[in-house]
Amino acid sequence: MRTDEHDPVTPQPPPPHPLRVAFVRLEGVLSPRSALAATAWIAGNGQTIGQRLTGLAHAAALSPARGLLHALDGALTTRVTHAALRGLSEDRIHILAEEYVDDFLRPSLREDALDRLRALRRTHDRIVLLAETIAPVVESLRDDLRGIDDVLCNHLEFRNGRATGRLLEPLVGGAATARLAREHAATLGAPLEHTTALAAHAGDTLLLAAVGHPVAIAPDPLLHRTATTAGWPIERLAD
Amino acid sequence: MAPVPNPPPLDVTAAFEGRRVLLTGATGFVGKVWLALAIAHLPGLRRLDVLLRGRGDTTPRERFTAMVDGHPVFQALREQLGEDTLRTRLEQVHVVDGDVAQPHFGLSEPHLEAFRRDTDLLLHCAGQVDFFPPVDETIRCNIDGALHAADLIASSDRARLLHVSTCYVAGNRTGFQPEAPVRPHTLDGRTVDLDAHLQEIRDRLGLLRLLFESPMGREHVAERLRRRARLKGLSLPEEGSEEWERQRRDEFRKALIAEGHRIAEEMQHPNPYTWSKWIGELLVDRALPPERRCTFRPAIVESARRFPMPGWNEGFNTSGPLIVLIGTAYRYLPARPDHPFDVIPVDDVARGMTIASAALLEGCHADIYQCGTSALNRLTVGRACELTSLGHRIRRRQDGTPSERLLSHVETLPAPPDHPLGLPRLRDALAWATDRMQRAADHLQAETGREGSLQQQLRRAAKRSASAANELRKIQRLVDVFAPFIHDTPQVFETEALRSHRVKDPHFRVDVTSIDWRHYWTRVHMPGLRRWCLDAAGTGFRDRADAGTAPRRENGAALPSTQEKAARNGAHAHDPPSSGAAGNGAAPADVPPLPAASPMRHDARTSAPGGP
Repeated sequence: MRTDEHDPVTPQPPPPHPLRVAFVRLEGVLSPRSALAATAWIAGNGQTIGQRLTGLAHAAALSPARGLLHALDGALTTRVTHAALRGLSEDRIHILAEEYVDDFLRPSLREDALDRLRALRRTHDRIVLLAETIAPVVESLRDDLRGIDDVLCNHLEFRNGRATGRLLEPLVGGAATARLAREHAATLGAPLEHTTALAAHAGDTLLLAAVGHPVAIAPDPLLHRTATTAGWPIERLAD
Repeated sequence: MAPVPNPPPLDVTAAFEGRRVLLTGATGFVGKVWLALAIAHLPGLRRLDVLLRGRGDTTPRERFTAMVDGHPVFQALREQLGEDTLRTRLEQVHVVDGDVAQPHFGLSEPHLEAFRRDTDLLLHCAGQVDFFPPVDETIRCNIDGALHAADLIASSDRARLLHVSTCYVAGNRTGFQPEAPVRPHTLDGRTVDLDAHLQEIRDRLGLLRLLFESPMGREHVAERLRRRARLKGLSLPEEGSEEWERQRRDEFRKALIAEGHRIAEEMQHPNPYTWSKWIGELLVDRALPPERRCTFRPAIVESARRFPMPGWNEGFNTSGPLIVLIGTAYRYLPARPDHPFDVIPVDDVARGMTIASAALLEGCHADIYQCGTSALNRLTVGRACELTSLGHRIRRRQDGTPSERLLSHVETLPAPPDHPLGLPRLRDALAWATDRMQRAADHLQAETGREGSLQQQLRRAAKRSASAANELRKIQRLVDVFAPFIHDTPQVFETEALRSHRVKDPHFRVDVTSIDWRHYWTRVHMPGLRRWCLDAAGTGFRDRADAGTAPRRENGAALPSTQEKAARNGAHAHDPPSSGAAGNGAAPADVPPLPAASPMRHDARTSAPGGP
C-alpha cells in the first residue's frame, strides 16, 4: 500500500544528495500493540462461536512464547500468528480492522513517536512504514499516518472471499523485513548507508543492521543488549 | 427483437431530445427516482406527462405539487440543480389524471388523442408490489394495467412501451434465467391458455364475492367472527353495525389474499406478485409487435448508490425485514449461504430503464432487459447475512446501548431449515416448556389449594414462553415469505442486454461490477433503510440521530412507522397504494374455507423484490 500525500503532482528533480529513506516500524515504535494483538482481536470476533474460540485459543497458545519465537524466526512467527484468521471473511476482517484501529490501535499511538516521525520527515526524502500487521488494519490507520510515503505490510491470501490463513509474499516479519527493506531501498535508488531504520524489537535486528542509521526506539531487552553492543543509538519514549 | 450483436454507441440524451413521454407509477419507489433522473439529466425532453390518480379530495395535480415541494427526492434534486433550474425543468412536466386500472388509463378524450398522436414513449412503471395483496388489486394493477398499456400503444401512431416487470417472472424456476420472453408454460410443463386462465380467475373471484354476500356466506363469516371474539375475549360488535361490516370486509380481504396465494402456488410462482407480472408480460408480448415494446426486469430493488442521494430508499422492501430480523437475537436463518441475493440499487435501475427506453426510441432495443447483479457481481445470502450483522455492529458501536452492543456478538447465521436450533425446534421446545410450566402450576395449586408465589412465577414464565413462541411464529411467517429469495429458488439473471449498449453519457451508465458490496451494504443501504424506512422503536434498528427526520409522504404527512407497517404485515404498495384497510396479518388458517382454499405455507405479506 502506498500513501501518496507527499508525492508531488508533477515530477520533481531528484534531490541534490543521495535519496534518504527512513524505515519506521509500526509495532513497538509508533504503537506498543503487536500484530498478534490485532490478529487475536479480529479472530476473537469471528462469525461463529467456534471461530471465536479457535481464534482466541490460537492467540493464547502463541502469546507466551511469541517474543522468543519472534527473535528466533520472525517470519515463521508472523505466519503462524496470522493463521488464526483462517476462515474469516474478507468483509469481516476489513470491518473489524476498522473497529480495532478505532478502539485500540489509534488510541495507542505514541505522540512522541509521531513527533519523531515528523522530525524524520524534515531530514528524509521518503518515509516507509513497516507493519507486521495486515493491510486492512494499516489502511484504517491511513489518516493518522500523514507523512508516510510508502507502507510495507502483510497481505492475507483470500479465496472465495475467505482468508486462507496464509500471508502473501513479500512478508514483513523477522529476517524477511530486512530483505524487504533492502529491496525497497534498491527500488527507490536509496543507498542503504544513507538509510535510517527505527525499530523496537529483537526480531528487527537484521533490519537495523542492514541500514546506515539504525535507531532502537524503546527497545525490548534483547534488542537493547544488541544495540548497546553494536553502538546503535537508543531512544526512549515518554509514554 | 433479438439483441443487436454490435450496436453503435447509444446517445441517451439525444435519444430523448424532443420526445414526449408518459410515465406511470411516478409516486412509486422506482418511478420517482426515474422522474428525478429525467428532470436532472434529460433536459431535452419536449414533454413529460405523469399519470396520477386523485386520492380522496386531493387532485392529481395537488399530489404532484406536494411531492415536488416536500419529498426528500425532490429536496435532493433541488439542492443539486438549484431552485430555478428545477422550476424550469418542471415546466416540461405535466400531470395527467388517470388510472392504470381503467381502460386507456381512464384518460380524458383530449389526453387520449394527444397520446395517440404525439407521445413517443410510455414508461409503464406502475405496479402493485405487495407479495400478498388481495388478488383483485394485483389483477387490476399488474394485469389490467399491462393490458391497458398495450392497448394504448396499439391505438397510438408511434408510441412505444417500456414495460417494467421483474426478474422474478421466472417463478419457481431455478438456475440461470436468460433474457428471454416469458412463455405460457408452468414449471411442470402445463400450457396456460391465457384467456381461459384469466377468465377462470375472474369467475372464481366473482363466485367468492357471491358466496360472501349470500346468506350462507354471511352466516359462515358471522360464525367465524363470533368464534374469534370468544377465543380472544373480545366484545362482539353488533351485527350489521359499521364495525361488524368492517370486520366482514376484512374477512373478504383475507379470502382474496388466500385466493391470490392459491393461484400463485398453482401456477408455480412464489407469490401473486410474480405471477401477475408473468401474466402481464404475456399479455404485452401478445398484444404488441417487438418493435413497439420492450420489457425491463429489475431484480430486488434497494437503496440508491448515489442518485438522488446515497442510501435513498422508500418502503419496507425485501431486505428490510431480513435486516431487522438479523439485528435481533434470532440466530439461525433458514437460508442457503450460496443462494444469490440479487439486489440492485434503485438508481442503477432508473439508469437502466433510461438506457432501455433510449434504445427503444432509437429502434435498437432488445426484447428483454434484466437488471440485476447475480450474473456479474453476485451477492450471496451468506454474505448479505454477515454484512448485515457487521452493519448492525458498526451502528451499535456508535450509538447502541450496552445490551445492543452485546447483541452484536450474537450473529445470525444461514442454516438449513431443519437445523437443531432452527425455528420449528425452538417453537416446539417453547410450546413444551409452556405446557409443562402451566401443568406444574396447576398441579401445585391443586396440591396446596391456593395460588402461591411459586405458582405465580411459573405462570409468568409460561406466559413469557408462550409470548416468545408467538414471536417465533411471526418470524416463521416472515421467513416463509422470503424463502424463495433466500433458500428455495436460487436464480441467476442474465444482464447482457443492458451491457450490450455502449452508453456515451456517464449519467446513464450502469456498471454493477463497480458495486462494492461491503461499502454499499454497511455504509449506504443499511443507514439508508434506517434513515428513510425503519423509523420505529423496537426494531433494534432506530437511528437516534435521525429521529427527527422521519420520512414523509409527498403530501407532507409522516409515513407510517415500522410498527404500523408491521401491523399491516409489511404491506407496501408504491403506486397505486393499497386501497382501504390493509389486512391484519391473520394467518391463512383464519381465512374462511370458501372455494378451494388450499393449505398455505406463506401467510404474511410484504412487498415485492423487484418491479416498480
